Amino acid sequence: MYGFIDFTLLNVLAGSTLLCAVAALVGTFALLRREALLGDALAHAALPGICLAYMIVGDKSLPALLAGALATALTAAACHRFILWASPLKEDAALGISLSVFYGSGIVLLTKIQGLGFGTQAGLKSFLFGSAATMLPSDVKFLVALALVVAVLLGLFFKELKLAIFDPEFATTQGYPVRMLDVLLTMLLAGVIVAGLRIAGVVLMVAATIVPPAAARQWSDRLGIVLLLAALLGGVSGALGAYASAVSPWLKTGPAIVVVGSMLFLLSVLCSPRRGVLARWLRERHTRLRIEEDHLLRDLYLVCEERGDFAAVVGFVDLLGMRGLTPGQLRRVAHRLISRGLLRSEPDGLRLTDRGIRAAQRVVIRHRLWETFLSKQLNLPSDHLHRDAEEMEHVIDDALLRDLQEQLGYPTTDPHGRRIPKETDQ
Amino acid sequence: MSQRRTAATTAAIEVHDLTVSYGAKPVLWDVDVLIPAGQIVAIVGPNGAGKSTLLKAIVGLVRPLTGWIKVFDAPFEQRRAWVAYVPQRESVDWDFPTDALDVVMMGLYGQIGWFRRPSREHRQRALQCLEQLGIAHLAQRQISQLSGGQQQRVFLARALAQNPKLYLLDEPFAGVDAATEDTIFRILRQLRDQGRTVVVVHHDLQTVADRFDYVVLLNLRLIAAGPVEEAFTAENLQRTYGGRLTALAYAAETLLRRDVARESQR
Repeated sequence: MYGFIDFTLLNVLAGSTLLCAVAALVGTFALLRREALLGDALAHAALPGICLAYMIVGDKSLPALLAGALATALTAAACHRFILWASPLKEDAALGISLSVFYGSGIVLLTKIQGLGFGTQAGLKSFLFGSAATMLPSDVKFLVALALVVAVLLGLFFKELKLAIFDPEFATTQGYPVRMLDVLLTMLLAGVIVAGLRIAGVVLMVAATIVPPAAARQWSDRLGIVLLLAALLGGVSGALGAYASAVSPWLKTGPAIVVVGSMLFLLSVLCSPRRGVLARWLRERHTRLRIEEDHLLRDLYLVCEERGDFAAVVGFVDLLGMRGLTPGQLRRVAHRLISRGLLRSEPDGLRLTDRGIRAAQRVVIRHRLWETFLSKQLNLPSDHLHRDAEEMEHVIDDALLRDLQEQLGYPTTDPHGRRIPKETDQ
Repeated sequence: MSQRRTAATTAAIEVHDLTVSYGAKPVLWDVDVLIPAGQIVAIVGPNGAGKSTLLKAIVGLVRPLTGWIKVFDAPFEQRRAWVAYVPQRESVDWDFPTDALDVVMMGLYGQIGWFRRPSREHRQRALQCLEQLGIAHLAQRQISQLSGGQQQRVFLARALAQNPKLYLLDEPFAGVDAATEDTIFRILRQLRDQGRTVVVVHHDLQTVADRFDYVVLLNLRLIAAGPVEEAFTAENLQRTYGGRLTALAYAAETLLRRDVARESQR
């Protein structure tokens, strides 16, 4: 008894994993060609083919239905290309037209079949919406073969496909058959989608070709790795989705796989190290905090400079007035600088530590040097300098600083006549 | 007859009676031009004059309505290996998951051949090409992380990797910093001195006189072509750009500068 359940589950697990992995592989290329929705059109365009094959053959013979589906899917792809070539329409409109025309005619045919009163037409719908739970060992064998064919072809033509997608014009001038490579990719995509339809349904097949590749792209900038990761993420969502639906019978396999895939995608969009939302937010926050700190250091420096005493204690009120900070903002910035050992908190204000003075000097030097540069090299009037320098003082690195000093002949005063400090620790 | 023969043998590109149209709109009309080998050649003309289309017609990316083109005395299809085409920078998706070295390596795919992986020597060769453009340290950088100038350098490095006799560059100086422009011109001169031919679709009339040997002025039709000293004249510019004052002002300034420079040399 248990053995039987395990065997069915294993079948479904292996099948879903393979199908999703291989869909992710071909989907990655579609995504890079900015044709992610081509899979959507292909999947919908399979419907009229299934209906036609059923009407011609008269029963639900699997090879006939698959062949019909593949035939109309590829016809739709050809129509899409033809519309692009023959009309001024762009990708999205051309896809929309091919998808709706083919799907629409499929619905017409389906209605016609139902009207004829065939006894067995019920199965046709499951062809479109999938029923992964009924996966047979023969299906799994077929999927293994399909995965092998796809992997071998993509491996063989990896370099040429990469070139043809990245720079088709250059590839053409080099004599590569760009159109044939395009046809190859489209055929693989159509083949995988049609093969998966009966098992997984339209929506899942579209999701399986788009979502894992999009997630994988977040994690790597190398095509080979993106491909492997896409296959991995696809496989994982296929396996987890199939398992989840096996343990909770109310959950259908297809939707479960889509949900798992979407969660992996969400995770990737949020958490990936370079392109992720979180990483970007952290980087921006880091820059913002540093700018606030630099500004407070420079403000303190200016007050001390005026008083001729860098060890002076500067009152909060003086600092608040300088750039209209709220007391809360000032306290937060000051706290960060205190914890970095650049400031010391005194009963009636703040005082720069020795390290704080050096850090403030760094900012002031850059600010005044940039003002000098703008005024000397670009002849900007002196009232136009400050705002630009306010941004550049945070950006200038040591190399640029040296260049500036050299170019300007190591100036000692800025255009406003204020002294440009020397870094005391040099 | 004998004159024609010599012209044909020293020409890198021979364009005869070329007409190209996109739909009903002609972009090039009856263009006849010989581009000599071993020179740096500028193709100039206003926007929409058909400059890029001429390059694309040469490398077979657009099909002519009438006329024919020969590259080193043969159809382009027989000369692919001799020609490096550098498309406009915006023509590709720079967010593509690949790095600078990988793009340069694409220039070697012809050598590597189908079904094979690039070897260590190929990587080395690609790295040398990046080195020539002064950006070997960016080899592993994802291409969207490069500045416009650096991306253009990568494209030129890819062309160098092909080791061709003829370079066709479509607006290589558009949106590029001054340092990159200098580097690219330096390399183009080196290539010319090695006997290669360089054809550049160019926008900046100010640099034509100083930096090019030969100029092709185009505005749907061929206006003039010849050595810069002969063909790059105020009259020809007027005919190319018509009443476009800004362009003319530039050109007048350039010509003036050139004359002043000549005077001072005497």
